[in-house]
Amino acid sequence: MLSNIRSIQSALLFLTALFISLSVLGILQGPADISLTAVMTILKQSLFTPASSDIPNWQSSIILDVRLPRMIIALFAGASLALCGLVMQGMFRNPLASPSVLGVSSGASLGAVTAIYLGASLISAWAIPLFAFIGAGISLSIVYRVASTRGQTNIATLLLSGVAMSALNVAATSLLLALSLSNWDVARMIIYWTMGGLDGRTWDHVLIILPIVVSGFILLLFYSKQLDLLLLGEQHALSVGVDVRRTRRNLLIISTAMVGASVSVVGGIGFIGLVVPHILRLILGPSHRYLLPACLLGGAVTLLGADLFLNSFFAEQAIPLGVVTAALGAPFFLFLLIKQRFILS
Amino acid sequence: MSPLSCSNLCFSYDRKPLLTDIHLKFEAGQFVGLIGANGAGKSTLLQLLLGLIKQQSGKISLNGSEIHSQKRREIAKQLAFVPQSIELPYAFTTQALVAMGRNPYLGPFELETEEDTEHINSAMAETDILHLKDRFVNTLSGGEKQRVIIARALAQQAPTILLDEPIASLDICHQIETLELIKSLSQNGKLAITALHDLNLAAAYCDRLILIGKNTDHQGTSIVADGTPEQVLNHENLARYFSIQTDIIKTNNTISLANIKPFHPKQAG
Repeated sequence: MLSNIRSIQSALLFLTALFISLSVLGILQGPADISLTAVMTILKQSLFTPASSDIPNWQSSIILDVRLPRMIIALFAGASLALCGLVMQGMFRNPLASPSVLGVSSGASLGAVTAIYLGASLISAWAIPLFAFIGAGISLSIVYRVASTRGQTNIATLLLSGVAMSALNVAATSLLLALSLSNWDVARMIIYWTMGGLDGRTWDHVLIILPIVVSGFILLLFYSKQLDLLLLGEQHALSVGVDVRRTRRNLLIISTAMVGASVSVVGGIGFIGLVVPHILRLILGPSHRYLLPACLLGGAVTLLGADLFLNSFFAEQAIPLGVVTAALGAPFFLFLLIKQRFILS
Repeated sequence: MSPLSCSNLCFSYDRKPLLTDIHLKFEAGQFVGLIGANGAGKSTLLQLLLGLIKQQSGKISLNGSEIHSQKRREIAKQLAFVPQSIELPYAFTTQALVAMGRNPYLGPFELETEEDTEHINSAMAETDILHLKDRFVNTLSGGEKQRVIIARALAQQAPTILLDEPIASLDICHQIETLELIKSLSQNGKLAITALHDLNLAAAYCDRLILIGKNTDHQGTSIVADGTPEQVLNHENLARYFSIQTDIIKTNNTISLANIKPFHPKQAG
């Protein structure tokens, strides 16, 4: 683990460099071959006055309407999942906590599917994220209520209630899909939404995810000290002046909003929220002053990296993004369980 | 004005009364020991006095106003707390953990000032952990961890410090050192309230003992004795509330218990 500030700073710098270089790669990579200079010109043109140039129209629309929103969404969805995982691990004082493990992601999915089923998604683009937020919030508060008594959170109860909540959410989602099959238009929308991923994402999606993740991150920065103190337990935090109940509630709202936003845009992508904060904590130590920006960058880099990996090596197979993150994350989760066995028993 | 007091305090767990009708008044400069058998409610009383849990009825006043109407940050400037058992699984350095005691004085983005650093360093010096400054707390021994937590409470610079069994996990030498430290704090004008199991050490160091014991109707517990060690630790109280029979030896200003044997009223009666 890095202990002095200089090495922590260089780790953050490294993440930033990775962030930038993957972003460049993300915009260059794709089935259509568009050169870096062409990309630069297109970006310049869209930012400033659209002067006439020799760049074909199809190229600029691929960059501006396909690759750029896709990349931005990948970055912010990854960042949001990692930040939420970090906050939940801190709040529950357990490295196994994360949006997918605690059933928050599936709650958000259920909310989103409900919005489509009820037809609310046709009225406003914000209906899906709003319902996803509500679904995630209900799931998280149930899991939290069940697992914690008098401020103590039992690890086994927490994980098991997350499992039960996920099962319930998945069942309810399937039920809604089954009920909607009589109305093919709705069923088609639900199925399309459930596939998730980054394909066909537009600037509308960027407008949902970007403001929520950016403002969520800024709000979380205000809580970095409280998050540190919560790591040591409720009594400890209370005795040095943290209003634990209020802090928990606010952190819950912020992280649920972020999960809701990312799930409504890219669907349930598991394990980023589990793995990224854990690895970064091992490297940077427990202080949230560094972990928050590191998770923002680390989550962004991981999801974009996974997407680039899929597009470069498995472009024809159309493997869903969630499969890659789960393939990497699930074994890691098992590894953490083995490590924790000593604590649990 | 008394810095901390409570009146008519009642608290029950799951509708079972635990503490009933507690009246207490503390003065600055006192070193108060809370004693009582297991389950009597020593920790619960400390948590109530800190406002960590809420009483069903009664009033706790901190500097003259009800504790639950005050902000946690303001309470933390008045009351510091050393919890009973503290798990420290995360790799904070000793210095970083002690620095957390300065939290009530700092805004969300404020770094420690020179004054804060001074308080942090003197707290570490008083608890003899300066040499552990850069060590990670999860690698320390139980006794060292306990001293780190006490240092954190000292860094808080609160006029009142509450401790829940602060010496339970320490070896005898550090037990004595810790009690000496708390004693010197109280001599410098702080109010220290400590739950203690060791009656001999309680008698030797505290200037006031509060005994929590079962009510005669067996419905919860309350304060059954409150006074100097000599007044509280008499044969009758020791037999009734601790089930022990013992010699009480008086030397100079202190008393000590020797030749302690279990005492069961039924067999004796």
